[in-house]
Amino acid sequence: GGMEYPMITFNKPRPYADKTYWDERQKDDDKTWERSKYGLISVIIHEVGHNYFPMIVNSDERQWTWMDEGLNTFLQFLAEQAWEDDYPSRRGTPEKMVEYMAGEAQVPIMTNSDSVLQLGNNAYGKPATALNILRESIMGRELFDYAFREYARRWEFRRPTPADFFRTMEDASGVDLDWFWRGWFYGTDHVDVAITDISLYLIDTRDPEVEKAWRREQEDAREPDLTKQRNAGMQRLVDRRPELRDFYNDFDEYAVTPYDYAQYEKFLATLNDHERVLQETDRNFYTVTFENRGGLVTPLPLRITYADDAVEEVTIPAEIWRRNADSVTKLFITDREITGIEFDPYRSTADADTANNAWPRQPEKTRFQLFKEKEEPNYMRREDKEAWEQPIQ
Amino acid sequence: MNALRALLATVGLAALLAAGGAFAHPFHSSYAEIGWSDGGGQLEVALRVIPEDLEAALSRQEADTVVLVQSPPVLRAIETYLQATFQVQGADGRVRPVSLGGFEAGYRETWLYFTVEAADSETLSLRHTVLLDEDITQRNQTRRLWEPGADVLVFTADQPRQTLWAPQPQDSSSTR
Repeated sequence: GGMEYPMITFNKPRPYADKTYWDERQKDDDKTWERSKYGLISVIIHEVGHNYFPMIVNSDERQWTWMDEGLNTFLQFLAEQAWEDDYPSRRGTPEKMVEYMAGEAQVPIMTNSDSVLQLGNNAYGKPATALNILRESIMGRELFDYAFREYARRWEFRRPTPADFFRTMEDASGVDLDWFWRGWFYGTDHVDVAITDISLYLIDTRDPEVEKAWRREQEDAREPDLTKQRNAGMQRLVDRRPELRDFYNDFDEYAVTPYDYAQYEKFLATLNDHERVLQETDRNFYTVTFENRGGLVTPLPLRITYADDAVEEVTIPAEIWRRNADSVTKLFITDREITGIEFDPYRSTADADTANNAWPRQPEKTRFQLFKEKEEPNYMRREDKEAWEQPIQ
Repeated sequence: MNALRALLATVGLAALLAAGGAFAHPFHSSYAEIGWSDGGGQLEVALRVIPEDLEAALSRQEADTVVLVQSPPVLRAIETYLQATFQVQGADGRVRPVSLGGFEAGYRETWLYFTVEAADSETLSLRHTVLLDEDITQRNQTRRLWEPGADVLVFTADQPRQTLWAPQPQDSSSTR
């Protein structure tokens, strides 16, 4: 732990006098050195960061703890990620906030700090995560960085309030973010978007050669029911007594007749040029329904997989929820067949339930199952090298 | 006298600053996932804690400094601690035994993996006081994997015990 005032000199953990991070006699796979190293680097980054927030951009940390701790934790995360590859930041990435945001007994970030529950998550982690999402997924790094710098520049040696921060970010970027501040800072909802329905629509060409062939294909693809399966090969009455056969015994309902051609020509004659072009469109129309189960609106980053294994990534802005914050249906027009759609493939929205993010549904293993599947010897075998090197019988 | 006043002023200022200040480790929460084993008969738990908090609790329990390394004494200490603080009880009031499978300790977090002997035919309650002895504001969030994803139980000093599992009716399919 640490503190930003003069007692910063007492922050810990500390390396040894010989500059090693931990006792060298520890086994290599005991990562205690990791905690000593990263613990100290992180706390120094954080406490030194306070020189700016709130020492220079002097927000009221008793009223709104998040305005210094949250912003500082966010900048701490950026600094840690700039330190080395795979720096194990404890806060900042969206998935680390999921359990807190999906839990009960929360209060909004905007709550006065004397009344906050779970101060660490509320004032440090959640604001940092929100700003990270704003930077990576909503505004983009360039726009966010410009707006954030502008806030720091305008309010250095001054006393900003939350409204000043919100207004400056919008003013400098030109992006309307009222939905974002409301959801993340004034509410306690979480992100949980589910893909609940996917429907495919194709143009009915009305061409009998095309449509009847398609219907025949659909019928042939259907599994016969049990009765049909068990009656296969059975001799019917019309087989024993051919005189009972009539027109409909040999009739092929999917054969194209002159009447069908005539109806088609009649239909084509009613179309104008524009309608003819649409009629001949050979495209797939997918409607995908997203349900907002968590309450917090979010952009929809999607990964779409096609039948030819091509992958497309598209992000639908949060404004899609503007008219209905509970459920939206989006139309996708494609040349290719879609074989899979996944919401938030890079875990960038703090979605609380990833089990409903994909179509088709992806099975998920629990953490316990993943731990059991690791190839490590059980407790009883670890005392003896010979024992743990033996294959499991 | 001036020196004394200066000392008192410094102490007072330091106290004032400390009272109004912030700190880099204000997180006191844990997260657990609980599910039934494939064959039933056991609850499988994955519990995430802040490693420094767990070390402090184990050190207090053992009356000696405990560092999270993969050694039998540490494993035993963790199992003992969990038996005392993660208590699953049936209707008979008997606390079910805990068996530690292992743990993973890293800078970001420490995960403890353990099982609890229990039967899905009985109503079970959970008394979850892990790390509550370290900080009264500790909040232990617990996700039951047989419930919807966002359904999370929260255990605090005010509410250390809650119903964990109620048996399913005979004629409905199990949702384990």
